[in-house]
Amino acid sequence: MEFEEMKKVWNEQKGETMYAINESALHRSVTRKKNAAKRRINTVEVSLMIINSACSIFLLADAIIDKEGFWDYAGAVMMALTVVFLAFFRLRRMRNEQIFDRTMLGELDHAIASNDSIIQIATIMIYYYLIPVGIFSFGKMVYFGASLEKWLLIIGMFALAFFLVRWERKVLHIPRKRSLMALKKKLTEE
Amino acid sequence: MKESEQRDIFNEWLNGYRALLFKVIRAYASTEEDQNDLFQEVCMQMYRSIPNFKGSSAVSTWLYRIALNTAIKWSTRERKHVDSHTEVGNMVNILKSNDEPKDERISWLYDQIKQLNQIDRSLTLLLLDGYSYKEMSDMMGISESNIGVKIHRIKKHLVNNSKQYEYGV
Repeated sequence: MEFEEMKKVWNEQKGETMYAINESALHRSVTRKKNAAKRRINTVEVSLMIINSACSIFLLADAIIDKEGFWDYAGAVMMALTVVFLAFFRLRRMRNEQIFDRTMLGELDHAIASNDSIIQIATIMIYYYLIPVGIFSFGKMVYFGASLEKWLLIIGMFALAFFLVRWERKVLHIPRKRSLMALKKKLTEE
Repeated sequence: MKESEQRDIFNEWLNGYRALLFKVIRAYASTEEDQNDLFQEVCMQMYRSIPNFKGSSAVSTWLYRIALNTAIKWSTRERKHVDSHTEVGNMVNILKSNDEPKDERISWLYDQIKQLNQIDRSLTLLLLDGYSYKEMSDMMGISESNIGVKIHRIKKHLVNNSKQYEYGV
């Protein structure tokens, strides 16, 4: 069969009758999926913002109640800055999501760039944020002799943040980047 | 844009361009579950894109772009059958394949398209639907000469495989 003949065969198909659509179920599903997608993206970002805000408030309250001064205030500011950074990143991502007229290459580049910044943030969170802040917080608790409850609370918060970020990076973003890069290669190579 | 207005445009596009959407769905998803999942994903993106549509291109071009971009991204996911946030009990069959008699050659053509990589699948659909190299280049974001090379390879591949099919028949 020559290609022109394939084109004729293609044009003869009655595409609109290929499937029957359950329209009311479709409308319900589009609404549900729209909300589910929003929820899924929100979970990690909002969780991290809540955890960091809680840490910041906790340290601030500690500073005010115990009058321990500089170290608690510095810790609270450090946590609050992380929340601002996460909020900024989140707003930028949400703005970029509203663009629909990209080319396929543009869409792939955007997906790769978004993925890269998520991986970058996850790395920053693990190595440059969690470790120094962890050392600072635990050192301070040792120095001032924190109660067992306080130790458990702080360790729990750090562990939760650490595992959430690491899981997200390893399970979701790194494999996705690999497949997006492979797709881009398929698109651009001759 | 009002929600009701957006919904009206969605219904209008869904009714007017369902053939286009179905072709993409059939080229990218094989099982009924996958077809349902991809169709819902494409519809969701189509719905979300409505306020961004300024009429600078034909609706069909806009929808092809959205459907293909969605299908390509969807195909990179590892688990396709069940969305991790969809309970199995909640799975509704939105699409039902019609049992009308089909030209065998169309089924063969779809089988061949499915064997191509995700990018070549898109190009084949656009080519069969009569889009020019320039339109494809604008949609894909790669040069016309690159499109030409890929199309040449795809055509050669399909024609060669059709010979085996004809001998088989």
